[in-house]
Amino acid sequence: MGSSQSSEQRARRQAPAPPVPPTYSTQGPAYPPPPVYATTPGQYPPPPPAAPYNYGQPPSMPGAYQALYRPPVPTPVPQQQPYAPQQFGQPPRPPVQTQECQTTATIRNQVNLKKQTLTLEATAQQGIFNITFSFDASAPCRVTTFVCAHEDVRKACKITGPFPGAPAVSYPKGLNHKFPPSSVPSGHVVNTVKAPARDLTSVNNDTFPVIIRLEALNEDVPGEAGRSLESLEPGCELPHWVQSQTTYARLVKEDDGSWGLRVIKQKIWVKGTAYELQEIYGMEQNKAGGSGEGYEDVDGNECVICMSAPRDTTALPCRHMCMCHGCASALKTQTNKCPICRNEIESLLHIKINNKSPAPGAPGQAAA
Amino acid sequence: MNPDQAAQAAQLPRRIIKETQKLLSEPAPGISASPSEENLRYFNVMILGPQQSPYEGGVFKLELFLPEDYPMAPPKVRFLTKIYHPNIDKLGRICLDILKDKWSPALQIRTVLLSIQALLSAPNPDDPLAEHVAKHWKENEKEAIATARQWTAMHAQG
Repeated sequence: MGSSQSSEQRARRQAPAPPVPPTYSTQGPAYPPPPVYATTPGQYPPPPPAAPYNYGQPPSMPGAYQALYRPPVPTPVPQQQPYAPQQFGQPPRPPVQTQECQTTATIRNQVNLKKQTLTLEATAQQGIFNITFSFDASAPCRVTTFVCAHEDVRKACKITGPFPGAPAVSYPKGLNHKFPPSSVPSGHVVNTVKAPARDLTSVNNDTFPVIIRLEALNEDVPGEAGRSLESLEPGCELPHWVQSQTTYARLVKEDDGSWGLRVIKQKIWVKGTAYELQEIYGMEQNKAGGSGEGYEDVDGNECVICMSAPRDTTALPCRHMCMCHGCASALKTQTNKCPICRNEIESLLHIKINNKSPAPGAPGQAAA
Repeated sequence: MNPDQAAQAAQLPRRIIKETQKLLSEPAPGISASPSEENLRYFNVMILGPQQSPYEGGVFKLELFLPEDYPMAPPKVRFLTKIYHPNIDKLGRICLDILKDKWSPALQIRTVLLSIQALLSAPNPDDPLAEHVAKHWKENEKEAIATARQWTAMHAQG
């Protein structure tokens, strides 16, 4: 308790952020500052209503990776009351607006690169590194990589780069695939000798140091006969019948002088729309949260308000999953502030999670 | 627990029961809080004056009450022990943002009391509740601190 006391003291007069329950996070701060929502707003041809929400490991559907998105609803315009009467001695009541609590619609994402597994691996040749990672696929898929390549979001996320891409690698449906496949030298490398360091470590005008694209057929899109992944050039404009996940990364020098890879963002492409994947804060305990029955056992997973029911509702746009459905409904009649960060809640997102079979030992993606 | 208390506890929200248990089993350093026997929403609180503050060596009694709409509404907290502090008035009322407009239901009894303990370490005369104490603090801090020390010795000895 000692350390939390001193942090309390430091933050005292400036409306300290509500303290983090000690069990809330096992790795790093559970409540980072409110994220920047879209790095370059309006860059996607049909503006998606909101970024989809990254689930991390789907516990119940082997091979499937789900992303969540908000159905397109008009954003309510906050009702400002410019001349609200103020009474002395009473703190002004925050303007209360009713937020609709939405249930989630889900996109079944067929391919997911596990961000934590992305690394560079030295090869026999000085300055040349293999791009390595593991991923899940619930459908046959293929992997392509690009170095210092430009993505054109106006041309269905077409990727063009200065270096000839290595041939795409195909995989069957399956969990925890390793890339590159051990049998063959993949040729999916980063050449730190050839590429300028600046282009490998930073993003310039939609030119990304490293882009990795996983592609699968979207079975939901009614068929044109004869379509296949093999017929597509690596990095070509994405057709509607492809579902893909694209991971953007840059190189960083680690403390020991070696090169590492850091994920900048991930996007998925579904039926002609690109969605940026966003993380939900406070979700990883939910997955690790055990049985899901009997509230006694869900320590660290409880709603911060009633401290009993499991958290299943996320405040948007700050993405703090901190409440149960019941308390969120009660909260919205009283205030429009997130309990964790006090940012205004525009809407609430109710996420149903199957807790029965959490993926054992899976690294949480929700609070990286 | 007598039958009367058991009946009371049965009506208490789970959160309050949990918070109470945690406060009793793992008290924060320098802070004790225990519910009253007659009313489990009313807590008798003691905060030790923080080291290197003019309140060091003092034992400060407070009362804390959880209103019906807690945790949507903040607890009501008041010093019972007299204290010379720019943000605490002579009735023991406390000027602290998280007890008012900055309340969040994610805060708890424990965090509120820790914040009050921190307030003792860092008086803020720019946001005064006790005007003359704050004035004293700003005009002659050394003397004001000496007064706070005297009051601690006089009123806050348990």
